[in-house]
Amino acid sequence: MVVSHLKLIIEYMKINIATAMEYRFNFIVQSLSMVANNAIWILFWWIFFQKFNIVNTWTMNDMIGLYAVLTFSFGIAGTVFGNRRRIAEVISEGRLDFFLTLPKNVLFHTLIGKSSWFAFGDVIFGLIMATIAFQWWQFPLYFLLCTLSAIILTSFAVIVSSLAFYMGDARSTSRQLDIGLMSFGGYPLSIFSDTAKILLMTVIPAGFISTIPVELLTQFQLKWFLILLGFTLLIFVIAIFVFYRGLRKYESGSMITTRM
Amino acid sequence: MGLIKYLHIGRISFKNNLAYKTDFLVGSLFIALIIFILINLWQTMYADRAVIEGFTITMMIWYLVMTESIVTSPGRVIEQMGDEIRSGDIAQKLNKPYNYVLFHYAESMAKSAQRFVLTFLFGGIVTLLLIGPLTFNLNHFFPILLVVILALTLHFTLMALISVFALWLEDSKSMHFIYQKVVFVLGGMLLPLDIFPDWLASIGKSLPFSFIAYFPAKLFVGFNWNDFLILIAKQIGWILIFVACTIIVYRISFKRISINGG
Amino acid sequence: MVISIKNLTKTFKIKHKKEGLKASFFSLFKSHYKQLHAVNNISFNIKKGEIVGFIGPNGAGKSTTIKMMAGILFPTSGKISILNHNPQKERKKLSYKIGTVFGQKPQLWYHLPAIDTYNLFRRIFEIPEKEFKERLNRYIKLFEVEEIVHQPVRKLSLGQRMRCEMIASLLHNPQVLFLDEPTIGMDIIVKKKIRELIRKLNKEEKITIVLTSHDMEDVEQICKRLIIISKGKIVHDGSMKDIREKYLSKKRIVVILQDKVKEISLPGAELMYRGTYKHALEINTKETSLKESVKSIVSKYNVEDISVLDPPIEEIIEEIYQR
Repeated sequence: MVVSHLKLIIEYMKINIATAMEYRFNFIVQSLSMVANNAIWILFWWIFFQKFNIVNTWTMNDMIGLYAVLTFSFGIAGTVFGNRRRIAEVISEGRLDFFLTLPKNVLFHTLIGKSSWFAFGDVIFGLIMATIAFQWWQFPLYFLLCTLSAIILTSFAVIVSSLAFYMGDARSTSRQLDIGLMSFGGYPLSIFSDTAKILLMTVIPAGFISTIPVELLTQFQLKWFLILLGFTLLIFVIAIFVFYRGLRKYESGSMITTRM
Repeated sequence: MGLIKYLHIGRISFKNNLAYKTDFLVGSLFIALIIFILINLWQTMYADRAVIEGFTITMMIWYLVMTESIVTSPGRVIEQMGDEIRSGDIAQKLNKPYNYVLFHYAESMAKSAQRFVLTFLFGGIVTLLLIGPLTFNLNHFFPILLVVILALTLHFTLMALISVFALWLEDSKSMHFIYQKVVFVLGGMLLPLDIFPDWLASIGKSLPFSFIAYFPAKLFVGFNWNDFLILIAKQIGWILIFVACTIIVYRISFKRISINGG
Repeated sequence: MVISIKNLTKTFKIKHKKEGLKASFFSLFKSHYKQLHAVNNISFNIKKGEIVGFIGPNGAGKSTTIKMMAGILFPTSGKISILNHNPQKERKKLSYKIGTVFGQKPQLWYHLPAIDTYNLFRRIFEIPEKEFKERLNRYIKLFEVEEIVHQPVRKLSLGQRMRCEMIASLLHNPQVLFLDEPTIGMDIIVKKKIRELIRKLNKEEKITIVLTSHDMEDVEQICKRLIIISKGKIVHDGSMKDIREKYLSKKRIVVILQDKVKEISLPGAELMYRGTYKHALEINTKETSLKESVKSIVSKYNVEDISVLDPPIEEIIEEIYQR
């Protein structure tokens, strides 16, 4: 079963690459703009660290490491599960019907139905930052942690996007919340008060997608690795639950206004 | 004159937004959350000092509330206009280029007005509860309002100008992205330019973006009639420059669109 | 019985918004709902190999019914059985056996050639390679799309696109094909071609076909059986012939005379058209005998040409809607 899912991903990757090559110019423009976008954030932090040198034991190098994890995770989530941010749109455009008539797992299929070219820029940027911040022997762990992050943020996007099942038009909300996750992921967790830290490890799990992986890479602690693993599993399960419950509502037609 | 129709456009846009009420509210609440996070960041930085580059923590946070409110309220203008331009839809919509821009200006300002108020309200409440009030003289309310309106106008004008380049790049999302980030950093939305290394701060101050976020918000937290007059003069100056550019660029592009048939 | 529908009902709750800015504000706090019976207790059965057409005015419930059959929408009450599967409970299993073509919602990837989507579908439906190649080639020949399957779909005309779409829905060898508005937006020649293909599919491949359309001719040309839905209820379920005989009590007589006559007088006939030489009359065969009418005209006037026609099917259907 896992194999057939992987095979399907490969098929979609082929199609996505073919589409990207068909629109080479756009593909390059979008990938590069993402690289530029991330570079500007690094510029922001550079300015900040010029002024303040150290932020609760974090240095500029730690910040680069954070971005290495953050952008690469968003990158792989976006290239493989390109529809993760668009589930609300897929629902409101009635495109969900297409996936419903096909024999594959609806959530999985919907997610892989598209690949984001912006995300590809993230992948590249993340890798570049990783080569600056980490040593070659840290890379296997880096890839593993990024995979977990990618699952977390995809699950989050699914949960948030599934609001569309309940709210009708959740496009703006889900987009904002997803941007929120990304924004907060860009700050080291240590600067926050305990209350904030809790928020950032639960409601908006920004802590899990960037700070914790970075700290695990600089100083591995089994306890935190297991917590990260556990959280990944938890949010994954919640995402599936929320989506399928919403799907049942969709199929019972309570959302007529968005479908007809 | 036909200008009254733009008022009606504004009214309908206002009503339209109310239709997406939950979505709308959540968007504004979101900013409150960002302010909350930023408060945490700055409380850490202010742990061992009271003033940073002339800003107390109170001033700093209220500064950020103002910049966030201004910069985020218009929304995705570049994407909307850029997509319309690329698809050639506008060739059918309106005849004269400046009508098209005015139409969007009316829509955008109506939308921005609502969102600005809500964003500032929610961000302000969070700040009031956690940091405290800003010493603000009510006499300065109308001047600041004027400055904000000019800031939003300049913001819109720049976005309208950039939207045209969607034609060449065949993509509006990327440009929205880059413009947004440039304003975030060089416009001083995330960080007052005073914190920047001097050379970078001078660059920022000489660019139009700082007149959207940095200067208006700085005036807000530290009002001074002299600065006010200089600011609106410069804002108007930048607006006029970019309005002129926009008109020219749109005229040229419209010719191209009409020739190509959209 | 390939399709069995019993007492199917679908009710929607629609938000009812009043006009005006004040109402918009208040709607922030409380919402009013109205109940809409989109499908109201309908029942019918479809046998293997049938081609059934669903027609009805907009909002009558045909798309809703098709969606419920395809498993996209759940009924409020009633039973649906497609190939002995309950679409609600066995969606995935059923999806291997049915094909769907929604005229307004394409399945083919817009920017790529159709063949790429076909290869993707092969993987999605897990079709063995040999079987896939065989079937693909057969359909490409049948639908005459050899040249165009390798062109990006966005460059194809509507008719070409629909032909490619239909192939996509047939690759996994479905037993039932649901077609929702397959000829929408096409010109008359292209429509004819598509209708021909659908008929061929049914005849040669023995696929059961369920079709909805706004175009009466689609249904007339393709379907032997017609289900008319109006306001969520089935108003007629039978053959085209049935409709004619049951509702068709009107006949049109078109006469071309050799002389200029101001007006043809015929007892019991309604004048439809009066030209210089050409006249059209309509009679109700329940009240006036067709034979007698024709005899009467031919004996009274110098007739150059005379023909007897059925009123267009649209008018018949409209009349049925009214009831």
